[in-house]
Amino acid sequence: MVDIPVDTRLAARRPTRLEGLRALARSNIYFAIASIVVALFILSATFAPLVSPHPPLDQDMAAFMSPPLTENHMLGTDSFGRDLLARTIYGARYALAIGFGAVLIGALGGLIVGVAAGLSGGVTEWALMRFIDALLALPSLIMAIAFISILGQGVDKVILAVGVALIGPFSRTVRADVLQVKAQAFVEAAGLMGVKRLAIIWRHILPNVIFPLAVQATIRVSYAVLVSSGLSFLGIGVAPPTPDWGLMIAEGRSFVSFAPWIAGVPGTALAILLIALSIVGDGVREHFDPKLRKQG
Amino acid sequence: MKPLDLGTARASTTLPAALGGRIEPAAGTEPLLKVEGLSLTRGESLILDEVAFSLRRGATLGLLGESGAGKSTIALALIGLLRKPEVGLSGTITLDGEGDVVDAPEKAWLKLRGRRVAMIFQDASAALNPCFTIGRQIMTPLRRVLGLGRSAARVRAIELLESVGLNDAPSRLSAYPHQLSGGMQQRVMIAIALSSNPDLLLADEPTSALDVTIQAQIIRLILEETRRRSASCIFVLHDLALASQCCDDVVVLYGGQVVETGPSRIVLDAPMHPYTQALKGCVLEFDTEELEPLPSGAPSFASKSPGCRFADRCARALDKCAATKPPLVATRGRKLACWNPLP
Amino acid sequence: MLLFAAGKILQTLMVLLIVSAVSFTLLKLAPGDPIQIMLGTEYSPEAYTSLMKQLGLDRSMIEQYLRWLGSFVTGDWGVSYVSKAPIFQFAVVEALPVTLTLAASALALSVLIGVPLGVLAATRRGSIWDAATSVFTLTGTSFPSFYLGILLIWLFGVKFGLFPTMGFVAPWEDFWAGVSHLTLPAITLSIYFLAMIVRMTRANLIEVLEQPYIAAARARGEPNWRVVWVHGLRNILMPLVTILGLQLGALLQGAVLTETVFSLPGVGQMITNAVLNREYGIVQAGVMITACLFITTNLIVDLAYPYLDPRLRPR
Repeated sequence: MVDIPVDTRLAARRPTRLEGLRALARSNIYFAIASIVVALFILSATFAPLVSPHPPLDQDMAAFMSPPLTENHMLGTDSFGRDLLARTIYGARYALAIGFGAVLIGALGGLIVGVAAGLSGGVTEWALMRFIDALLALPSLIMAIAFISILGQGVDKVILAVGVALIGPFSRTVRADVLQVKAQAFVEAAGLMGVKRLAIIWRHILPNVIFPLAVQATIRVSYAVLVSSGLSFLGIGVAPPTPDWGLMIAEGRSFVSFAPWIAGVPGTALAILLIALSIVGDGVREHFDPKLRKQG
Repeated sequence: MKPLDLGTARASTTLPAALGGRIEPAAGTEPLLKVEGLSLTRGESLILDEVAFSLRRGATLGLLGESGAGKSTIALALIGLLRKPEVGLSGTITLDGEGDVVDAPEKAWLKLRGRRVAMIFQDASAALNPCFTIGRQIMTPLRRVLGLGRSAARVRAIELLESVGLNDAPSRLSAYPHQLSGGMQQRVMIAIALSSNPDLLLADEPTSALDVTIQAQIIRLILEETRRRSASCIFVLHDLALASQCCDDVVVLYGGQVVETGPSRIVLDAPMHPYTQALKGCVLEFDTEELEPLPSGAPSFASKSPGCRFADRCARALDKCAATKPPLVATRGRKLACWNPLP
Repeated sequence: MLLFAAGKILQTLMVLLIVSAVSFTLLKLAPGDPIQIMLGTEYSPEAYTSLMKQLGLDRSMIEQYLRWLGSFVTGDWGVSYVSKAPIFQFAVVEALPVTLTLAASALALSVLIGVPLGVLAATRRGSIWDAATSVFTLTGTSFPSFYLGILLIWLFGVKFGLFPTMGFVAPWEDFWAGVSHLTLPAITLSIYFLAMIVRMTRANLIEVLEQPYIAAARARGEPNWRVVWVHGLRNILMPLVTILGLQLGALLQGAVLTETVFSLPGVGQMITNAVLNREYGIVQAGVMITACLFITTNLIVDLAYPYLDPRLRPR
């Protein structure tokens, strides 16, 4: 919600950024392919009812665990006779919604905590820093599990749990950016000229922090998808019969000896999406992070 | 020890007392090193263009020019570090007793590096491995190259460190590079380079990373130690005043081409090539490392121009300068490559 | 030096204290009244208040936290509602060794294979090896480990029947059975780390090999293998160890998933089951164990820095 107007403002001020991405896609074939793959996933998730051959929960009583390339079920069916292709297409909805939703929460939380830690001084900063340390002391999945144990299962709860678990890493990078901006002359000058603190944050600090944060967010989407599908795989994330990939893989695990496709279809979809997302994330980071540009 | 005043030092035949007098050429006249037609192409650009010079045993040679002229590249080629990835090195490097080594396999170079040819690098603080003690770095070549035992290597290492003027040598052995000052680090580099008594010492801007007050000490140390071993030395320099004081001969390079070469007192006292003159002018008038008074930017290698590389920056350029490369011909005690030399 | 270490240790303890406070608050936020659960059918208002007093739940939050912290430090972690066993016993004595064995073997595997692969890629830049390595690091760092585990089960367990696909045998009790049970889980868990180490080794080594001291070592006549494996590797130790410390979280959370894939009775499975059974005490124990592992490892990494890079030692 918040970052959209800021984003367009940035884009208007520096039009080279989008052009730069296009140039990146032209020069880096992996990045181009990965972007197309991600776009395909987003499209098929958005238009799932149109693309999918069956509704995700329909059971075909005539075809339990039929292998891929059976008539009417291109990628086979699971132990309930549900079409795997349909469930995988609908699963993309959950994976992407959870991934983007969680990153949004994490980025917002990280923005607030990070800016607070970067701008406050003294005891408050120290306390916030130790709080961030404590958040970082737990791997995201473990922290998400802990939150799930309080919140209970469900899509919204997974988004919240994974989102909160991402606050730690986001806030650390935001704080670093804030410190960097704060040290620059124009911020100091604004302070000396008597510009109000909130105005300084709004006019100078935020625009300079939002962009690196957006880059960070791109990188972390794949991580959020991984953690949330991990939660579902453990059986404590999204509840059945939701067509969530993690859940589907967990269901398929029991049948791996005689129906490997039940785990294989959603697993391959998840793997492809994660790899594509991380290539896109890496490309965006390498393109926009001046610190990384030097390295090979 | 009187520090060398580089700001006002003139290219002259008289040597300041700080350097302890000019080294006279050794008796032998057969060259220790002969470089002929050395060229290096990297991609589209010609880094070295038919570089040729020779060096007598016991003599000191200076490679002069701006950064990017190819001086350091020549030094790296002379120690065999420009081989595999850099395809396109041609010409001959004849080292006395070894024949042409330009295409010698790595195995042959392993026997030459550190034994017959050694090198001192520009920035000693970066050229010493930060993770190993001074002792380890000086003793490893002693043990590997000379085959000394642990205790013998230690004794020799202490001798070497003392000979380069490091006080408290035994305790320095266990020190790490960052614990020494820049001057001391360069002394350690010299000790390592001299440890196996090489015939040829390459000194790549050995003092440019150092404080001006220590420069003369380090140069003097290198000259003394090479003379004591009757070794030859090649200095890579951009400072003409320094070159005029420590080199018997100089090779002036521009854009990978030799423009003027000969005895330093002849070439530097009365340059005939406009570039040498301009380089000298820089030292005298501006006392900077860069060639600011020269028109236009640094030499470009992108264009494989058929003529003299300096033509587009040269005030004396004629029409044919850009079209035809001037040959290196003997003129008034030196060799010169110029169509329109200074009188 | 001593002061540096003491400061680091103090900071670590502080973070642990905050983690414990946060996780204690978490426990208090959890839905469901533990006393009601404990009393079950024997519920009565009198029994409720007496148990509340007995457990100290009528006191202030801070007092409760301090009491909890005291008993936590002394190893009194309470009793599982489900199995009635002391939590400390099965969390630390039974589950932790399984997780540590898994994590350690995965780590060993990835370092032993990853470093040479990274060196190979760095020293033969642009070769087919390098290209293959970069494809591998790309897939390896983003491939979902739990799906990889299932693929390995299908391939090596079901198709070829080479390795057992479930359960844990302690290698210190039956070495070969232990190793064969650990093989697939360790490979599953190591892939991410392996890819990470290859990538880090390659990137850092390429940078180090361009340093003047590498050229200087060559100029001294040191052979190529010594230049790369002694001078080069010594200088990438520090970034490598740093990344290992930072990525330990990934190792621990990967272990949770791997344990579920291969039915290993480790900390991860313990936490997952506890969430399903709503045993908050065990979730909390798992959280504290993970945090302790992560923070202690990073403390060790911090303390190791001066040994890894002499420039960080006091003059």
